[in-house]
Amino acid sequence: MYYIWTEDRNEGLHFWNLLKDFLACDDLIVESKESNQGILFALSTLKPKKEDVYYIAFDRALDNIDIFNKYIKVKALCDKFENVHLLNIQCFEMLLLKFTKLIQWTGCNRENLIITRAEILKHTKGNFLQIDDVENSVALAYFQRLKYPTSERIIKSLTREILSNDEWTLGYKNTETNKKELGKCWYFSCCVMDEKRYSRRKCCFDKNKKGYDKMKELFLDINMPEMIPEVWKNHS
Amino acid sequence: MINIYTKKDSNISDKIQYFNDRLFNTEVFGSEFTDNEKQVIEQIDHAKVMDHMKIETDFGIGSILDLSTGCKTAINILRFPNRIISVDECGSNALKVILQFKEANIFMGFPATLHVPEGSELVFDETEKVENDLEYEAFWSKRCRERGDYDIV
Amino acid sequence: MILYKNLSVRAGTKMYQLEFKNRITIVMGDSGNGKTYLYKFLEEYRGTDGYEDIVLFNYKSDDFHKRLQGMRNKFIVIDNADIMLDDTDKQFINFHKENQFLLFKRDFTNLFINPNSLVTLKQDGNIIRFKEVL
Repeated sequence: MYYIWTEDRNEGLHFWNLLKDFLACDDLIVESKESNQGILFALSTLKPKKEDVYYIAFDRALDNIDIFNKYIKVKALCDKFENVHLLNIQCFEMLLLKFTKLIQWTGCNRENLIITRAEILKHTKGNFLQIDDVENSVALAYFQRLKYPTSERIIKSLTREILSNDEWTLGYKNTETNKKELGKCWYFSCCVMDEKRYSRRKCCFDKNKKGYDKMKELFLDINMPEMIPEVWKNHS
Repeated sequence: MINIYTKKDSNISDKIQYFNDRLFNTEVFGSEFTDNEKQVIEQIDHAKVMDHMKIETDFGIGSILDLSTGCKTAINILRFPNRIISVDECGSNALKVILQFKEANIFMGFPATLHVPEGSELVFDETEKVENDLEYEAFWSKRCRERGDYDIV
Repeated sequence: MILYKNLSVRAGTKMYQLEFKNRITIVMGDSGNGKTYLYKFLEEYRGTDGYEDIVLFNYKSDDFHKRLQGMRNKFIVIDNADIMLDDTDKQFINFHKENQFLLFKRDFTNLFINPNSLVTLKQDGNIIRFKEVL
């Protein structure tokens, strides 16, 4: 069995479940541990079977001492087992932010957001923002809008603002599950909006883009095959 | 029992002792150290107390005033048990020693990087008992959420 | 801006050989690993040839917050930073990029740090260098 453990409960969890659906993978289980503490607790009691593989999606906001402390402990626990892998990501929002076609797909036309995103990506090593290396005045002005700017807050805030178009939004409320999810534009075939809204859409798509194709482009672009190689190899 | 305060409530905020260097330098320096205190100094700073004014360390012979802030904090806690001493300037090695004291009243302004020593009895904010690392991390998760450390905006 | 990429400080029989990869460097780690010793000897070097732009603050400094806000193009060393810095100071540190900072601190929440900003001091014989925490 393959496991993805995430601390997210809402959009982040939905993201990983979309991956599972995309791969049509019955032996992949996506579990929310509800918080970074939940991941720490689950790892501390984990006795993984040899044939199982675990991927741990732990948000790494290194400019928060509490998360830093937990990260050190989570890493030590993951290092104990060969088949437990800590995913090399800062947070799932960073994966969306890094998606090369993000601006094109969402139709975001706010220049300050586009510039700030470009600056952040320019100073990202791997999947981690080198926040102090950002010097562009537009980006810094964006950072200063936040009461306590940290790398995590900046990434999450920026991603949310860029996605607040059409139905790309993070935090879309699923009325059936009562959970917040990724907007339908990410995974439904086009177009999810009624005619009136369709004519005012900002995205780059007509009505022919399939949801599966969008997901495939996204996952390949953000290097998902490298992140979860065992699962991807067996199921893609 | 180690009482750890993390909130600057009105009933304790005036009692919190920051600036442990100053407290030690003005009120401890010049006095003789007990065997227990000498042991604490050895454990934290790997320093041998030569007399009440001098220590010997890897850097050579120096003044008692050259002890680290973390070490001075630990001595302050032993010397002033009725004060609430801030441990925000203590490394995890100093905290390890402090958390094994029989009794202490300390203030922790942020989640210190540490491992809870086995057998420790820690009580946070007079209400929450913590006995191991998991409970320690769980306490701080809750506390940080209350403070808004995880809020995005 | 990184004003000093390298600093060498002789401290008795020891030599601090410090390499700075970031504008903000945070020295953490155990008590007694040589942080305050480094501060003490930097105080001796301050203002001498090659060390003109170094400014030092610790708990004894008068008017710390006000003086900090006035700093431009300086290499600023702050000991006891956990109890010295307030939110306004942190904003100054984050956004005044013409200054370089060396902070002796353990709580780096709300500071713009890169993963290799966090260091401890590691002794190798008589040489003391930074060692990255992550």
